[in-house]
Amino acid sequence: MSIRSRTINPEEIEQERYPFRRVWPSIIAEMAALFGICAAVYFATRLLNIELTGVSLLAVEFALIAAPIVLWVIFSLMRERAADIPRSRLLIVMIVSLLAANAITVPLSNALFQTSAWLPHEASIQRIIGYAFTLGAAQAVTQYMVVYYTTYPRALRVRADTIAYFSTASVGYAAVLNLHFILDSGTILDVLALTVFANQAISLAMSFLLAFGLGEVRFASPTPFLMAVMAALSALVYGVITTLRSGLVNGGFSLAGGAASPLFGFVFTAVVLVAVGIVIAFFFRTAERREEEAALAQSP
Amino acid sequence: MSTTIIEVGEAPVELTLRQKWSHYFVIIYAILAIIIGVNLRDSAVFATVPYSNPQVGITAFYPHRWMIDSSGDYVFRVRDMAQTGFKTAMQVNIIPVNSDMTTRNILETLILNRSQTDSTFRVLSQEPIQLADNTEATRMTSTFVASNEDPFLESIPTVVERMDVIAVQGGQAIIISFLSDALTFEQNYPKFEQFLNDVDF
Repeated sequence: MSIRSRTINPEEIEQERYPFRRVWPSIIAEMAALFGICAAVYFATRLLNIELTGVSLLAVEFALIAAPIVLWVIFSLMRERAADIPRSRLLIVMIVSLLAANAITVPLSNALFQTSAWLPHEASIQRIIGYAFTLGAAQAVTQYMVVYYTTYPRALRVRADTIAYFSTASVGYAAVLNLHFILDSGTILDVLALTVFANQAISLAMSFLLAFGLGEVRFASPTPFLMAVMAALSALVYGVITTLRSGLVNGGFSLAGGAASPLFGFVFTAVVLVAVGIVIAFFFRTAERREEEAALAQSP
Repeated sequence: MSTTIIEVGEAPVELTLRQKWSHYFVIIYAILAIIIGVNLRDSAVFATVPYSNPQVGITAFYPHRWMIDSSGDYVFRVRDMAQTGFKTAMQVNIIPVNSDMTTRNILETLILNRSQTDSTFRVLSQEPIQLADNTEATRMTSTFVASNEDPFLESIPTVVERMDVIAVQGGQAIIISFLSDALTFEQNYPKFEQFLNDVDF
């Protein structure tokens, strides 16, 4: 008599596979890697006193500026290709945002607003408002226009698409800012490392707000003012982070003496990015749940 | 025999009125932001502080945040201390003249003095102009090379462009000068233009 063993586990229920690339893990991986690279360069330059010159300095500078784009290619673009239904316009959004920022927005806003001539001398509140209505608004509107005219409405199939496209536009825009920074300000490696991270983090935080706005416009039926409000909010985020960060990075002037604290500025930027990301992720999740509940209620 | 070509494409997605207006509001926001941004810039860049000196009878408005001093051989001078390198300056000077002296004499005296004090002094142009209150004046543009007087600061000398506006009125010649790094002269000139339009003597 033979004994046959038989499992009592039920057969696996085949789960429906999510056909799109999950955006949030890609963004987290990109920013964590960028944070690590910039912190490593900062500590190597400041604490270990490693001084580079000539070709090696140029190579590290180039690598630092290229880092956000390379990380985006690895964690977003290549993973997108592996998805069942890839987002086909990521590369277009990247190229158009690079071109729009470099050819139009950055030179035009520098010529028109001349912020370096007056904003650094203003009080904090005026600086926040000033940055929000000049460079912040220019960046927010550029990112919005690039994503809107390259993807809207057909390429936006799920809400996460807006995050994917806006984060791509933010990488392109920040790359141009980094390039202009190194061309205009010379070559101090630790400052460059912190600036590269700050530009990317600010740009990304702004893109979260814009993505939520466009996602709502595409998939819900909000007030027509919502997108403009989100653009204004993202410009305000630019103003707040830029002002407070520069207050931390640049040393104060007082009788007790002043000392610059660039690390505080670095950590502050990262904390604001995480905070904005958590809030927007919560809003996205709530909106998606609301949609699912509405769909369930309508189904027979 | 006719051939029928059937093109298969995706149906266009019709935007709702809310979606269209949402986009229009972003464009309106962008236009408003540009207007407000330019307005903020102008109110900061062209903000002025009044200056009045009843002894010599001059009222002027100089740029906000510029440093004023009246301790030299001039009525007053304002300088933009936020500038790196040569500090952009505007200066008002008054010299008494007798009835025989013409503007040409004053110019020649100025050129003679400056060619002895200013390094590599060169006159670029002289031309008659009319001030905002219709006063006849003469404008002279010149350059010289300025080096930092502080021996502890190592810096390359700067080519300075200077513009003097000379008006003779009531037995005195009023010389209003504008000095700027030659590289940023055009950029700084609108502030001097505004200063010149507002000055009253």
